[in-house]
Amino acid sequence: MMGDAFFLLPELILVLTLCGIVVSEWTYYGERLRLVSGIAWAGILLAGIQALWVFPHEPKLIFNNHLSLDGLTLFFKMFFLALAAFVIVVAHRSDEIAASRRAEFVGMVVAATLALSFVCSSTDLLLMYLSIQFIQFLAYFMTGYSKQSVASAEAAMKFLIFSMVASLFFLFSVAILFSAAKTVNLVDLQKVLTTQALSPEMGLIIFGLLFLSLLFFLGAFPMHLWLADVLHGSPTPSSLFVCLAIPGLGFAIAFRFLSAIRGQPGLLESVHWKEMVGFVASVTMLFGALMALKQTRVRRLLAFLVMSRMGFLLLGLMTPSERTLASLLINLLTDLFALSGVYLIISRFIDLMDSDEIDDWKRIPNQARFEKIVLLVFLGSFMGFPPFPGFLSRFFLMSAVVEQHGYYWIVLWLFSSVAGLIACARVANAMVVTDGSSRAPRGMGALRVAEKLFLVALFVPLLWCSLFSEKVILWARSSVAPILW
Amino acid sequence: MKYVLPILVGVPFIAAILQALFARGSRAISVVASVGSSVLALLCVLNYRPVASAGAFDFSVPWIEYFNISFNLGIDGLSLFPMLLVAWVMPTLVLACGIEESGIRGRQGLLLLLQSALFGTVCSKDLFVMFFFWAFAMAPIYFLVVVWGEKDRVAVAFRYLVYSALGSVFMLVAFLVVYLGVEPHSFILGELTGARAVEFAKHTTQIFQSSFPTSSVAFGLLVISFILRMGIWPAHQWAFRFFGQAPSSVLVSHSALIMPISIYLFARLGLELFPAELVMISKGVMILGAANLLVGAFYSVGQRDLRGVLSSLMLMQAGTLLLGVGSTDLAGLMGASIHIFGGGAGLAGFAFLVGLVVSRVQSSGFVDDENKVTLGGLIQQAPVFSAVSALIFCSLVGLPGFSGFVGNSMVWMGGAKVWPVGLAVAILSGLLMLVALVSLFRDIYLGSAKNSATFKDLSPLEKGFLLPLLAAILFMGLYPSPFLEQIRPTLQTFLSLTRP
Repeated sequence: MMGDAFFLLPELILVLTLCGIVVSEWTYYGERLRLVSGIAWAGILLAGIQALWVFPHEPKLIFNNHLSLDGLTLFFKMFFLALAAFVIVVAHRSDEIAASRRAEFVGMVVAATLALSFVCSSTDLLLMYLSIQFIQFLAYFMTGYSKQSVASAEAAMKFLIFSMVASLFFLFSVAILFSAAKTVNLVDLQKVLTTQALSPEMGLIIFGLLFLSLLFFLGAFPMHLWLADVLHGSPTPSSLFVCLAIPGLGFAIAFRFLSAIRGQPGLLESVHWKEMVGFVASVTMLFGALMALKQTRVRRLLAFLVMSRMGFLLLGLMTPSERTLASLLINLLTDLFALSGVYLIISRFIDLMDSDEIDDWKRIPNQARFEKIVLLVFLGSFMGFPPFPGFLSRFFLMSAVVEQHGYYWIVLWLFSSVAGLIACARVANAMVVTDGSSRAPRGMGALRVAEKLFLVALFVPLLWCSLFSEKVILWARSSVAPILW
Repeated sequence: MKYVLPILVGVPFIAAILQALFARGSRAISVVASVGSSVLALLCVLNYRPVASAGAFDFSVPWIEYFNISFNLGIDGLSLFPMLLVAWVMPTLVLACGIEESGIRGRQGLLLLLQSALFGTVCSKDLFVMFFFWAFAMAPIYFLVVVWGEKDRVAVAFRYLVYSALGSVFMLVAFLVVYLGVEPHSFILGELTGARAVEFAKHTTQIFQSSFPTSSVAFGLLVISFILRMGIWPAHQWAFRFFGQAPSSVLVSHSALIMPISIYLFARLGLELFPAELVMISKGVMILGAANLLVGAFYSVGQRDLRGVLSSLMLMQAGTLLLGVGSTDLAGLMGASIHIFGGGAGLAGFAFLVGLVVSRVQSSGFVDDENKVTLGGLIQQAPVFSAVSALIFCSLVGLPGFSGFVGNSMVWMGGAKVWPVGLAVAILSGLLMLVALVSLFRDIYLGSAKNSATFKDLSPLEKGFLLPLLAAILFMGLYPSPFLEQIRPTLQTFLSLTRP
């Protein structure tokens, strides 16, 4: 057991980082601002290095099969650690995160990353549930961080209500699963299913409830009502965290469950999984894209594009295979870099213009040319428009889905892509068609040199994923290999 | 030789990034890169020998082996004229930016990106790479219009984006259908012929419980894709509005580059991947061509605006090219190939003239609402401009000795064998265009002076970028045989696929 603790070094470092953030609160004001972010970045970087260092070459179960160390664990750990680092960069100079309370925000991000790290390696459903609860509470506080803002308070309330409902669905499905299989451990569940198959009715109830809970995490129909309000109402750094961490969490859980039902390969078919996922994915994809068309605020528009995107990613879960699951990982990776870039610039433009109305953004001064161009590049990458780097990852997933399920899905995808393109064109127009009649409040660009370098650093892996897709595909395939049957 | 094609595709792209980073010297970087890339392309064309050069310029690097995608570039007889067209027109466009009052750096950067995308499209031998470059070409044009277009630029750019995106989407689906229809899956054109082509021809796709030949589905999607992207009849309305608001660089690049290259891609993919389908719908392609000729001709007669005349001429050019491709006859296809360059150069010249008129009199209209000519007597104020215009008009109406004549006459020859009605339509529409252009010349150039007192003649820079176009128009009209011999073997090979 003590030997297993070695594999928890990344999580231990995150705990130490949290302690460091608390201690740095005691220092004097000016030093604290630098210390809080610095300690968090250093801790996250060290945790990432440790995660790579302690990662075993073969999949391994630790702590009496409660935690699993495999390619997926490593992927999601690195994903969440990178996201935490990017969120802290966005929050570092954001006017929406008060400097005097930055330590709170950074502390919540690090704590949530710790819980996320447990979720992605957990094979025990109770541990998973507790970690999810912890993340949901922290995400609630992050969403409602701007206490004076009505939109932020409303977003936090909606998030709390929906997350509670989703947690209940999750808990009910775990309880029913326990009554049927007498275990809450996914490794044991797999063994049980090989000898004692779940009846289709029982499977439908368990997976139906679990699916509803999963739809909340992904912001998919019919559990989507929180997404737009949260991504629009909460401070921009919180929006970045929520729009990637919560869906990432959903996919991590889905992957673990898919790994467990290897014991009963026909189970998904018997519960009409493909039909359920296909229907929800189609509605989500189309609804998100169409709603994005009528938005007048950038963050709300982006929220619906994220929703449409989640619908698209859901297609990858219709019939889990090596290709679809590996493509999902690649898509999550490109989204991480693209959305981080988009939100960083949006955050600075909101600080600059005190608004996220598309019409107001026409007054962004021409000195911010770099920011405008980079925003369009990252937005194009997120949407997967050719020739932007995100295109290939979308293509991988779509080709895998088309190969399995025919051409119907491509029509939906393409329709939603064109609607998304039109929505993005409105932002693009605001970026290039400047309103000459008025001047911006501050006649200067929005980003500092270090932030510009950060954006370049975000773009490099995006480009790398496109130019050297072969390597990325191989790595993604090896990551999903342990859960395939 | 092996690296020539990636260099000529990559140089404009890198130059676009460099000139964006370095304000000082950006004009020099743009011009040198554009001209340098085009010179390389010209060297490729001049050194190309039908049999000896087979594969000499080919460049292939595996990109995503998992999906069998490779960065595969190459040239053959069919791609010579589109390549020549891009090499000839793009540097003139980049040079022509010098006459603009503002935004020279931005315009040149976008044009360099367009040049890179178009070279990539023309040279690609992998469907995925072809789609990648072709879709990429959409972005620079969109931004050129939305930033430097006329008053309603945002609306027309939006329409352009929607139609082009839809066109690109249909193309991607068509390529995916092809990719999934062959075993093992591949996007590489060279791997989609031979045994796999035979297998692909037998493959069927289920759509709504009905079975359709996969190749027909893919080809149908491609046809829709090109009609949407080109802006020809029956999806021409957006293009007419677009031409009414676009800056001159876009007038040139859409009418003289995007449209002809669309038809080149249609011909290449039709002949190489879907020969049976192309033969099956050849009459339909010719009817589409004839319809475009008629629509363009009738529009041109009633035009009061030079931009409108250009739109009509583009439709007619597309109609001629489609007649040639639809004939699936050697003469018709050779005519279409040479007309891609010859007609493209003429259209580019006319689009430049429209841009120059707009820059001088701030309007492209020449007849007011009361049917009175509002611009006239240019020959007295601008004799060189008028002479250049006359030469370009001669090429457009297809007078012997000009580039338009060679392409038109060969297309007519090829088309008449297959569908004589097409020839009749082509002649009728040609006469209507002649009437339209002669009337235009009479009103604007020969008529009494109106609003032309301050009309300046061509500046040295303007002469500099119009001269190569005139040289191309005359050279291709007077001595086309060397080029025709370069493309004949490739076309014969492709045509053999259509006649099993």
